[in-house]
Amino acid sequence: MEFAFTFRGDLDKNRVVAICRQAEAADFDYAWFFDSHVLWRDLYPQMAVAMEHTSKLRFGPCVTNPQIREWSVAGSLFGALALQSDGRFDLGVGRGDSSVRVVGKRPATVARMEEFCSAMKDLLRGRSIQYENRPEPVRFDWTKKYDLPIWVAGYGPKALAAAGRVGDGLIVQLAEPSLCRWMGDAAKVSGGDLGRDMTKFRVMACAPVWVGERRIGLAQTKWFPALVGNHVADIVKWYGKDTIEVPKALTSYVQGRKGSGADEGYDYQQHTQMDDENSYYVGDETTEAFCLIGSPEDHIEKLRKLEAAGVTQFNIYLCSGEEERQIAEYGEHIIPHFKKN
Amino acid sequence: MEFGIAFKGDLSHKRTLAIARQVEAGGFDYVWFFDSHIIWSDPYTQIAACMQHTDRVRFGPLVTNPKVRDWSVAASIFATLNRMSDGRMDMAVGRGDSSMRVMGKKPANLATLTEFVSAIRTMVSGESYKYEKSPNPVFMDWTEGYELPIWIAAYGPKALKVAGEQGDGLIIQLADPGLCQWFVEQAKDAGKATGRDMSNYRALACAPVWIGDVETGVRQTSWFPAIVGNHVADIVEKYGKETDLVPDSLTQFIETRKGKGADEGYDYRKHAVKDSENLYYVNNQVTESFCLVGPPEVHVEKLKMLEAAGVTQFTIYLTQGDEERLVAEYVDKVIPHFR
Repeated sequence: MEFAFTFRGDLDKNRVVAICRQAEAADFDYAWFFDSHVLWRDLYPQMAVAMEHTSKLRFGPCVTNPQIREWSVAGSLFGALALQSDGRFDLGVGRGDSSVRVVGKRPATVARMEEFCSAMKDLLRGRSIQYENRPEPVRFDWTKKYDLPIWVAGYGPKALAAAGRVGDGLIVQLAEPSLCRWMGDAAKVSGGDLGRDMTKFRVMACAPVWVGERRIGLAQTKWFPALVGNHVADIVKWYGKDTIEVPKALTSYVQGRKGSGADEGYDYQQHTQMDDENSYYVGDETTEAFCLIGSPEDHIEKLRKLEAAGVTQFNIYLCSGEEERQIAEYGEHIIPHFKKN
Repeated sequence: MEFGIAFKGDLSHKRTLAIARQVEAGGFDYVWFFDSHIIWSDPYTQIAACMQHTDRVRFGPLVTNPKVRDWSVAASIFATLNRMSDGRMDMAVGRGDSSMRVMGKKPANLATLTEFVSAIRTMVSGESYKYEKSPNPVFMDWTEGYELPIWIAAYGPKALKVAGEQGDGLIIQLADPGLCQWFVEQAKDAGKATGRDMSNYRALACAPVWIGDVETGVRQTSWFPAIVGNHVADIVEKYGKETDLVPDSLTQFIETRKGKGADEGYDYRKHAVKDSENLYYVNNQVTESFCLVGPPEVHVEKLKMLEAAGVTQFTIYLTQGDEERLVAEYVDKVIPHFR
């Protein structure tokens, strides 16, 4: 099992650097950053700085999207970071959520997201790409033929199928073992149908954690099911409330959510904030199911279940307070149970 | 006089960092990066890394443009870099050249450039801004009210007017004192005409340099008049060959340049490359007048002339070999004459 954490991108620069050093020493494998440039700052300069202070940790956006940066601009950022870090750069991609919605833009279709993934892979390998009716093809001759690992985020059947087709891994933004299994399997089946070898396909589960008292942990992480709920609300909107294409365990908790789809019933200016008004409909049961809360033993037990469900990387959303302590608890009490050395 | 360097962005990461440290230790004031994300690589992640290894020199793109990035994306990058460097970020902007043309796109018009300048200034200062491509107003509440210094690149009369009216400084991409004086005066007059106080207005001249014998220096730097020539070709196309709105010393040297405007007669994939086929029409005389070539005394003398012409910063295009040596020569033999 790999371990990772994700910055929201609003911490002081010196803390970001210190946490990356701490996590690398504690055997974490990845440092990810949310990509939402209006709410929290641009992530890529922060990543460039953190790379200067680490040598093993890998980096990437979790997640970027095809809508917010022109594709050659996005590809150039990714290629530059891969060069600067001696090959420690991955890409997490979704259809677009907070970064596009706060400026009033729309998420991409699944087809466009797939096209973006292939375009980024080709650009970083040094191949010429043509997209969006550009008059000239675009090619980078300075990327040293970098093989960019791509992780695709999805919840619904169409996005999961796309992840299996074009991704090296799937990003599951919740840590409920049976849902992770269902999503990972859906992606793998889709890739397998294309004849891809899916034995090395990676599945990341991400969620906030709280090592400590349950009651406090629930309060600290309750913003997370509200964020997941936007995506689920979109799924209910498209596939219908009574669809059998999506597990009930995913959709039933948004019944008390107001509005239709992600655009209604949620204030993106309060995205991922503790004590927000967005989590009005979230029950404790859902928070416990989606997040990791409790003693180190509780975390270990749940991580074992996630591992059994096919999850290969667990990624902590590091924005629920006491960030350095959570990393320390994981480094000291949890990660050693999952690393052979 | 301030001194700066500009990276093309294609040096190895470790050399880039080492040179940034070298220039800071040597008393330079600015480290700029070309912003041409396809030909070289994205400059902003390199700026971020260099900031981490310095604590005094200032940074910025030289130059970015209004068309290559969504404006909220651009503003977020500048504001983030500013926070990460404790206030050491500037922006220099032009209409767009290699980063656009290599994709077959056109530069922005001056109206778009003007709006971009106020959009970026407003968003980076932490105020809400609404622009055509963003249905919702963009508001970044984390920028700490930063007042981003903005430099505007120009050659032609209309662009110089925008630079004088909107910019904190002017970027002049050549180092001929007579032309620099003409550019600076145009920009300052335009600013004064709107009632601005232009006494603190800045003017940056940039060009490659070669300390050493003239023959080698001319060979090393003759790619530069060819890049200037593209802009001049656009000016000739726009204002006409016989115009009296532009000095002859600017337009004459492109008489044998093939094609019309910047889009013809030049291969942008070989942009700023030594010994490329783009410099077929460039003669030694124009290279010597646009660049700084020769022993240190020649550099000092020409820089004094630039200073007298109203130039407040000289930036070395550090792109054609012997980079560390040229920085060292400036530190030892040139900059001390201006301190």
